[in-house]
Amino acid sequence: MMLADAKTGELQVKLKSKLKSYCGEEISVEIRDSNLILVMPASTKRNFELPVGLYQVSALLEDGKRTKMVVHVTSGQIISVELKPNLPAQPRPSREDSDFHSIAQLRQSQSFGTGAALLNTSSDVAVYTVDSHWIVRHSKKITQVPVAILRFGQSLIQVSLPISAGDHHFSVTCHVKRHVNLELKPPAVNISNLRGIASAMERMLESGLFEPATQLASHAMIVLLDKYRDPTGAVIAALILYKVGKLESQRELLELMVHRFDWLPDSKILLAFLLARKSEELDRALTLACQASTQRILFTETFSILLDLLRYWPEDSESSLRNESLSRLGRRAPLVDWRSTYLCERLPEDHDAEAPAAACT
Amino acid sequence: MIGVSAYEFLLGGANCSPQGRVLDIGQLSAAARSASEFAAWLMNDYHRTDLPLRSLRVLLSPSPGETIAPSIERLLTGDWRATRENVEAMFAGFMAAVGAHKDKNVAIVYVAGHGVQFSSSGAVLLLNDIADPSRVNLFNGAVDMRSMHNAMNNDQTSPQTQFWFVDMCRGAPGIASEYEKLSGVLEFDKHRSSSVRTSPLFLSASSGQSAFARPNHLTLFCEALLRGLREGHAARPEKPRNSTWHVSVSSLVDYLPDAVQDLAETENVEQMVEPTGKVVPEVFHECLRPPEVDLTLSIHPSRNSANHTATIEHAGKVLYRDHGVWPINTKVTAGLYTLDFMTLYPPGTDKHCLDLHPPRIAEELPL
Repeated sequence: MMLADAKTGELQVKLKSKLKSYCGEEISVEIRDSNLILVMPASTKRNFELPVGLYQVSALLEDGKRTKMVVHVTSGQIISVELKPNLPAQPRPSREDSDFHSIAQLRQSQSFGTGAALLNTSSDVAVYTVDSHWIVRHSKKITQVPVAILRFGQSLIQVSLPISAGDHHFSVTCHVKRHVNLELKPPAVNISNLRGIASAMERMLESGLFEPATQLASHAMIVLLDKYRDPTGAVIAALILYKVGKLESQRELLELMVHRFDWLPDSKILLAFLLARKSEELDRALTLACQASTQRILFTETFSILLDLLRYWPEDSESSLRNESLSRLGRRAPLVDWRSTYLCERLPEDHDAEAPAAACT
Repeated sequence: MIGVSAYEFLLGGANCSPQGRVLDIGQLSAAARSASEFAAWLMNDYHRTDLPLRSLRVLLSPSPGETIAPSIERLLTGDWRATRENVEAMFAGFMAAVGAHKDKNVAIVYVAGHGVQFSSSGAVLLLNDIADPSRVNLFNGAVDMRSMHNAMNNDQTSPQTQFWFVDMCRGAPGIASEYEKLSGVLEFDKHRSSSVRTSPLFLSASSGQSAFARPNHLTLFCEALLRGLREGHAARPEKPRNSTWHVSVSSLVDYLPDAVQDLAETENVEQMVEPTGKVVPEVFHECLRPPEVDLTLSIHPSRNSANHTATIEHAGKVLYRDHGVWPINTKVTAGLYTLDFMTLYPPGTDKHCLDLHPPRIAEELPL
């Protein structure tokens, strides 16, 4: 097709992204000229008539990175480009229930090679094993944040798992990489790519892209609570809003999470953080914070927020409950691997890793 | 600006104390210099059209023989050691100064030295007088930068725009497990009011990691930061149809983690910058010119280089026409370029678009 004005050409941009369906808004595209000057404010348009020349087209997609392409707009021509996220390859979970095994079944079949060994999990999860990953999903009603215990060499490590007990149990899995040197790095635990909205936010959180993540997060909290019943994903959204100071706007949703998902203390911690800013709500904040300190926590960051909240409590008055909670967390803090997104701590070498899952708190 | 390399009461210090030996931490050689170089950049090269530098506060504790930026060193008078007492007084003065015009002022904080953390978000800077035996608490000579950040973020008198650079290790101190609570760290009161508009805090290392330096030179974080600012590597045009290259919150978020990681890889270490705080768009610095790129174009060794020429164009200007001398080593302005690559025999042409960004691009032709 030829355009009427021969000094310009048309640029058509396609985004191979699910972000629009996640956040309900078109994704903005940035266009820069050959001097890398923005030719216009970031736009949700997809067709642009531009003077002939070189342009850099980019958009922030669900891989948590800005995807860029250089295009040459030529006179009277229509140029099409497609931007797509560069998502890390992940094996898909099996659709067969029978491929997911309890830890007891897994112990019988597991061969201990050079990678990490999965020694134990909470009793309410099942594991599908592939060469590169353990894919974990819930097997019955979740009563606490699920954990896995891994051994690598002399290191015995317990890590929280970001799975949910939604209605779509094939789509609320997490992936745990098998071949990671746990003496050097924390376990590589990620929300499965299939949980598109939650995994997009996880990647944005880990890459520090809070600004675009914020746009996604407010909408995501609603969708993940009402549509997908993915509270662990919703906590990531809340965590992003906390990091950019916009959590107050979603306080009602946070209240809803606390009410609906008692097993997930991270939402209690974030709500306690909000409440502690108001003197009239300090008592409730303390109750929530102390409750959360007795539960298994999902995120390292929320564990840290709770520790700081209790340590720097806004009132000086002595509270035995607070001191008790602080002591409980303080004993665990030196064992926590702060590099890990999901709460992860070293266990003593003599820990009975095969004890019933109730020990995994 | 606070830079602490010399620790009086730690191992290797002038008066190593029993408490200092327990901490099992020695002296540094690059932290004070790094803080002084950043201060010198602020004083000499920082540029905001409507927001010139109004005041600069510097506390340094250099190790013996450590080089301090000369333009800063000659201005240091009185007691400029980075001690608890001086840091407390400096922060009080700083907060009062920037609060005087809170809607317009910009607060910039850079600290470097030994660090520890007691939680994942923690960032406690150890000061020159850490482990002072005359103090009851071991960590009296330390300042919690996260707490300072929180205090200045939630204070109604604080400036709406702040930039924090915290350059230090973030490991848990080995002795932490022996204590129920480690008290005495300097913190400021945190108000309950709403937070300021923009206040990114760039932590030089991720939680649990060490921050590295080139001995007697600069920390890796400072080296990357200064390169990003001086050479414009962290800059890009941020405003539509405006050719000024800005270093902004978002360009720093994009640039710093990769730049520090690159430097760390050359030293065979791992160091990941963590951008935190209120990461809301704001300009930090305006560059006076676009950054330059070291460009190297060479012919693949399996090819006869005499059989190829290239024409390189940028923004309608031809930089090289039918150029046949290889390799091409040149400095060019960052931007998008076209490369027409010609093979003389058998005749053929190939056209490429190049996205040239600092610091360097090395390509082997044919692409």
